[in-house]
Amino acid sequence: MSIVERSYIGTYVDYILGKMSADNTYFQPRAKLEISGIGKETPKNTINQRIKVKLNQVQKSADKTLPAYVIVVEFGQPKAKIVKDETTI
Amino acid sequence: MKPPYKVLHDKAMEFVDESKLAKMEGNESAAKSFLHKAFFLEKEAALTTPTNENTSFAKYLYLRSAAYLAYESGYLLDALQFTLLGLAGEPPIYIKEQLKSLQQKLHLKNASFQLIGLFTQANAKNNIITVEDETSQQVYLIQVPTEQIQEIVKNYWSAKVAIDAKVTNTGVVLLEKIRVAA
Repeated sequence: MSIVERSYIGTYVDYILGKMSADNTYFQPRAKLEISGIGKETPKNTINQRIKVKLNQVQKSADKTLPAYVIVVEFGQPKAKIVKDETTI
Repeated sequence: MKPPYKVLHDKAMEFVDESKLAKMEGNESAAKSFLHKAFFLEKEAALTTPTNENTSFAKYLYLRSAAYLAYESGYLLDALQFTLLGLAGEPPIYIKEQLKSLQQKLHLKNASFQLIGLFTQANAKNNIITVEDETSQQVYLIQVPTEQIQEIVKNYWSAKVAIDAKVTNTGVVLLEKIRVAA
């Protein structure tokens, strides 16, 4: 599974994970992906706090038909964390 | 090979990236200009993506993307048209939620639409007039009642007009009132 599409939604970009067709002309969506970044982690702005914020955003949707993942990247070290929204399938 | 609508969409997303970079650099004017370019490309991508089992997910993504790009660019009539086009079909639930949220924002911002611009063309066969909005330079096709088209052409041809319009749930712009702009 890889990023097969992205699209604009206001101030952020929505990523779709899935599989491309053999001829590379269309894709089958398999999951949604939210990506967020932090310049440098501080006690008040940690990866885990950002993950929580993003999961809350994702969980507002009534659509549980596609699994949703959240990735937060911290550019200070750098490091990253990926979690799956457990309320989705 | 990528289909043409996908090439247009990818290019639109590149302009979105450029817009974000320009904004980070404090260049608001360039950011706005890149976002407008992104909208025009995304509009084309959304309208030309075929509607079939393999491409419908992408088509709804592009329609929503075009609607939000129009909204952020200040093209509120286009934003409403793309929102309604998306909602007229059967989008994935989460895209439907996002389109409904945009529809609410648009109604809060501007319940009725008014265009001021130059009346440039008329198509008597299809009862459509063309008006170029003076603010955005966008060209709008407006459906007019059959019995009014001759009179409209006679009275307003090549004049600067003010138009009240409403948008149907399939995205067609319908004329409500037309008058010479002050």
